[in-house]
Amino acid sequence: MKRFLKDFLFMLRKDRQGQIGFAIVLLVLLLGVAAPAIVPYDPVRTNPADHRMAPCLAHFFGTDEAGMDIFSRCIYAIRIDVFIGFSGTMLSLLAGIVLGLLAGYYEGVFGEVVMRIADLFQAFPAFILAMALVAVLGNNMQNIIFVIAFVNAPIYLRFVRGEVLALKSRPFVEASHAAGMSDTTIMFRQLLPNSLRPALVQASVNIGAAILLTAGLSFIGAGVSVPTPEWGSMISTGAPLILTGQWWCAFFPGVSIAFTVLGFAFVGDFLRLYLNPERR
Amino acid sequence: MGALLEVKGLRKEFAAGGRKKLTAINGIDLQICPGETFGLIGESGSGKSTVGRCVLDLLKPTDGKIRYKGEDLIHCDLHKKKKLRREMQMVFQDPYYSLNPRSTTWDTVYETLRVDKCIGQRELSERVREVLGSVCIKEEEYGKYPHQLSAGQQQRVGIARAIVARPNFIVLDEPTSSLDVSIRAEIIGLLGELQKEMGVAYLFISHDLSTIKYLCHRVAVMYLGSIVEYGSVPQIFEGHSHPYSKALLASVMVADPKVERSSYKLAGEIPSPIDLPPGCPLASRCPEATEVCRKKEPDMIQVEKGHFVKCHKASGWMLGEDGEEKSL
Repeated sequence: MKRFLKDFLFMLRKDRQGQIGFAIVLLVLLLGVAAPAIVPYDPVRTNPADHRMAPCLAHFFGTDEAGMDIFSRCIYAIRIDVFIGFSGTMLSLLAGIVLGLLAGYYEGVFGEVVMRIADLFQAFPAFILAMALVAVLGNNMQNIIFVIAFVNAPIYLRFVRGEVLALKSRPFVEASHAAGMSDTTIMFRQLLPNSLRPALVQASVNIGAAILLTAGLSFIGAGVSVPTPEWGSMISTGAPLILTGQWWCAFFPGVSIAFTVLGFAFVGDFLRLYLNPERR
Repeated sequence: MGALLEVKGLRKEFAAGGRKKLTAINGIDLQICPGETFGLIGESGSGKSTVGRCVLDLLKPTDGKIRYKGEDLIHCDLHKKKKLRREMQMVFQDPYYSLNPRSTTWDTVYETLRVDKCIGQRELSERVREVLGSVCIKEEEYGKYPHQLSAGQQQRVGIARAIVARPNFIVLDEPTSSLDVSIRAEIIGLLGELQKEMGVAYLFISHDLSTIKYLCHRVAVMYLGSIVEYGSVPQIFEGHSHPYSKALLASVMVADPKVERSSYKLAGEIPSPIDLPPGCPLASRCPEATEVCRKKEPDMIQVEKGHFVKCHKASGWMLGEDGEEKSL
């Protein structure tokens, strides 16, 4: 563990982009965790008297149509967006790993069926599919997490299955068979640790995309519903106000999304290099 | 002595696209006795490794019988199969690929033994230590991953894994061919010693004739999925033999300038095993082939005690044409 950390820091020291990425992600996570201590106003308290106020000292990012403080809402939204993006990705990673392992190991009818179903999901653009699923399941936070997991699982499934297919014919797997190990032991103890890397790298890059998907769904009204602080829905309610000059209502949530997604993308890129043994 | 392993009429076909079939093993018989080393030689693509894998039930044969200690290995219930399987192990050609890259030396051997649920924690560790000691793996190597070990150490870990469950039979699939010469000698020596200690039988698959000659008691020569000749080491290496064995032996280089190399050669390459033609499989390459060779597949003929040859010419040898044959 100590060696691992040393190695990690050594790589990070040489990679400026990785440093920026980690700084952003840490900052965002910290703000999300410490949100109640930081924000000056209750994010869902309306105050019609102060509505559509431009950014000033009392309201850093201004207020929206209902008089809610945009700065407080942007900070609180971290708890929603990053949480949904992260847990959706983890869930899809888990499903993808297990299914990929099974589909690769039991190549026959079972593997074919799983792969064709994965094809079916990937045949639609992710956003359209997500929209349709939310429309069927109903839009609450739990369902959005499931939808993100659903849309992304085929990606990880393919990565893991590909690795398993390549590993399966290696002699060490034959040796495990000869030793009389059960299929489950071979799958989870012999194959799994060797087939995770590409999926993990993809997942770290994908968290950003999942956040974007969450915001996108909320923007079109298929995501988290309005009083809850969420970047996508804030942009959506703020967008018409740009015409009347209140640009800040949509601008600051947009910047928050861009900033966060950029951070995760940088971290993902760094991990891609870090986990690639040939780069060492 | 009763046979430990008995193979009868073993066939293995692979689908080769469309209706075509690739015949990797074309009906072979084998008998391996307890404690003996049985060599299987032949050029690449002759089906040697496929035999090894079928015998260990890693591949399902298309047809034929495999009996281990008199029990049918292919058609028996799963519980029994699992038990029999642990008595048969394998050492692979490429030592690096035969080890799990994310498993340490210790874990590789430990996990293999742990499959046997009857062994307690304490005895497990003790036996792993003992086995690693017997293949000369030092304690500082226990925590290392395969890529941190030398090729010789990797192969010794592979051997430790094979012997840890105390098998009676081990398939050695070209265990030395990817090692350099000095390590090769060390591994062969180790295998010999282990056999003496444990009385284990080996099926030694190789194309390295000098190793076979040194280590084996009996040898079978394989060509295109069939065994063309088998017998004891002196019978194969010195007596009369099948044209293919002769050519194989003639191709070995001898590190002695005074020894004149025989120029017995086969024409061309090993033919494709997809849709085998009728007749003797060697007919297209054999310098002694006649009309009958191209039409009819020869039978296995016993030319002397324990020495079998699958060649039309062999029936003539028993009639005593010794001098003539040797001059070829």
